Amino acid sequence: MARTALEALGVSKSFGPRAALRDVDLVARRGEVHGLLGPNGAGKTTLMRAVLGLVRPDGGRIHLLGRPFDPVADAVPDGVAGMVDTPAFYPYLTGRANLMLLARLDAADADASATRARVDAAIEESGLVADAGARVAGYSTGMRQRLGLAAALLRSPELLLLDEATSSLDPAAAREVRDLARRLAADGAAVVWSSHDMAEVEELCAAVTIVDCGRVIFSGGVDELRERAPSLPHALRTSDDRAARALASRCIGVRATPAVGGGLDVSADAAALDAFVIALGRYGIAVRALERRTRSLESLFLELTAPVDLDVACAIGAEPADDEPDWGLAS
Amino acid sequence: MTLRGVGTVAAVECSKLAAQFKPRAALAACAAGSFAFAAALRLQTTVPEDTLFGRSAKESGFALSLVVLGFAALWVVPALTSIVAGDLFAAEDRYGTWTMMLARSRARSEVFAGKALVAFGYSALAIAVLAASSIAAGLLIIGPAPLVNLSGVALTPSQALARTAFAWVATLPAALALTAIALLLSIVTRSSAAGIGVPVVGALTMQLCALVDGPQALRTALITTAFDGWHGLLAEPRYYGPLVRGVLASVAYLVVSVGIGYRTLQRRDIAG
Amino acid sequence: MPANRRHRSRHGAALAIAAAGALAACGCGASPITSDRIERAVESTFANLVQLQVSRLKITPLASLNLDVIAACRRRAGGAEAGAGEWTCTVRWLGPDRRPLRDTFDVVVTTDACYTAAAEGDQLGGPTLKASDGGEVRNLLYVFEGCFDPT
Repeated sequence: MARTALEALGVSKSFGPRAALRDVDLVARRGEVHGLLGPNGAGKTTLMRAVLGLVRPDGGRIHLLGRPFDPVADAVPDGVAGMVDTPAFYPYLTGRANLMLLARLDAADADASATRARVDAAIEESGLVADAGARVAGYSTGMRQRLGLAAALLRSPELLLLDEATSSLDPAAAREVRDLARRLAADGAAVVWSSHDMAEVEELCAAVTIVDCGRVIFSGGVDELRERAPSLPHALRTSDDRAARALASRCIGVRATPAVGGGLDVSADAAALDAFVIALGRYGIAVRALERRTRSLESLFLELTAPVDLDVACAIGAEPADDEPDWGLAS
Repeated sequence: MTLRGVGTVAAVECSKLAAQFKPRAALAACAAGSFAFAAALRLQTTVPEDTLFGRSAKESGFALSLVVLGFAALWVVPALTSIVAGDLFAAEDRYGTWTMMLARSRARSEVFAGKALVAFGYSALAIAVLAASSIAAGLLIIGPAPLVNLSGVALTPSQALARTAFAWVATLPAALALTAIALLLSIVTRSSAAGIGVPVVGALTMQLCALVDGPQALRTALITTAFDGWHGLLAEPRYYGPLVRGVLASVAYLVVSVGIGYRTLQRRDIAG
Repeated sequence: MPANRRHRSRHGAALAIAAAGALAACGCGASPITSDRIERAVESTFANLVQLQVSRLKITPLASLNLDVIAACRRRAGGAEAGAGEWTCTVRWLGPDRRPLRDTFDVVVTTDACYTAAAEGDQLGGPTLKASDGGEVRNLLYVFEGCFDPT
């Protein structure tokens, strides 16, 4: 059994003049939940659609469960399942009837009772027991998502692709789905989890691929991502946060943003941070608290995908200007 | 693509059809319509003089069935054949269910073939219902008197039954060609309105064109002239020229429509 | 998608060429609805209907069934001697005692090579006739219809 459940290498796709994917690699291993992150329009959904054979890539190779996959000629292999966008069903049928149709499509030669059993199991696992008998026309978005999950689980997936699977679910339901993903991974499946919710990905995923503008900008373990960051944010509280922030904007290698709950978040490496603290003192701004914060993926992600702005340069340890008070400290 | 896979898709599509109102209602209307027509004819004194066999419609039940045939070919069959075929593919676009349908263990070619099979099967079934109900209505309400054919020869009831049934079967190629055109429109336009509306309007337009005395080649190219192929079966001696031409034209339309439809679906990106 | 559109226009062009070729090959020539074909159709249908009528009226069948029906048809409007529309056919046949009889029919021919012939006079009787047993039967020769092979 191949260790990698999904190997998409060099996948490119353009819709007319717009390049949705440019030479994208995505590898998901069995037994782990692989996060797929990116801003809106980054190409995450297009990539998932290419893997599921819904969209024909212009270039690249895709291997599913160790076998090459051709989106035009081949059917999606057994054991590969996915849920992209808000799942849609036939509104004139009940949830259960919809699942029965899909289950029949999957297993061409299973008998009716085996099909019914699979459908019942999927309904239970996705928490839809109460609503399975109602027509889909009356379903809420959350119920549709659960039904979409059930439809994916019908295939007993060894590779499961989930696109924003918890976006319309309440926190309790979302937690159930995350637990399900963890269980599947623990049982040896590969789960690709695409989400905007960084906290969710941080909690759930061991590996992550970040895409932006159709390109992969990071692929690796979550720990590796944290280590990759050039600087760690510190929580800083001073006697004059506004002035401190203005000062930070004039220093090389220091970025200060207002923190939630007061104070500042300061990103700087050790040397730049030292110089900044000294400069604060020189300008009469007292440091009341300075502590290192553990970096959340959210800020990492935003940094990686945000446009870079240049700081106004000011040399580390520069003399104060003539019209500024001389604190008499040695430089 | 496997036969079993195609069969599975066809079975699933049939389940979906059975759960919808329109296809069932259309078949019921087919069955009831013939009986209503026969009853009305029985009650009134005038006969439909502008249709073939209209004058004998009150004398022989077989003539009544052939009158229904003439009328149905003009007005009913184009609508009947598109009601399912024109919607089959476009419905997936309407409901947004392509993603669900195609992310299954069935290749696109199997999905296409299964749906096409159901579309053709429904059209054939609709024709069969029309044929059976019109013959039954004719025999029950008008009676099984001998039928005077288009050369003035009286056919015995068993002969008339065979020829009438054969005449209905002869409408199948053209009906299936119209079905294929509706299927193609359903795939290409992704709109049920176009898939159902265009074949109906198209068929009516073709029949208007057929009224004009044009060159034979042009008339053969109009798929609706294939519906006249049965005339030769009720003449003495029987002639098959128009029927053969109609079948060839129908096959051409069918093959081209199915071919283009298949390729269009294969190349399509389901981008949501 | 430019690729798809190019494909479709290639298909369209191929179809158009094939259709034009077929049209050219079939020879869009004269209409197959000729006086010859109409005359032969009317003759045989008329002869068959006379026999049928005789049996329906329950009169003794004619000993000689050879009616020698001959029809001569001409387009009403004149001009070309072929095409759908209104025609006039004069039908001559041999009645009882081999007496020559004739009648004229207004024949309307449609583009699908089917016709309706209506008797002009009432030489052949009105819309209905009385059978020998007193019952009314439709006069099959008053108005009759038929089709012929246009290929």
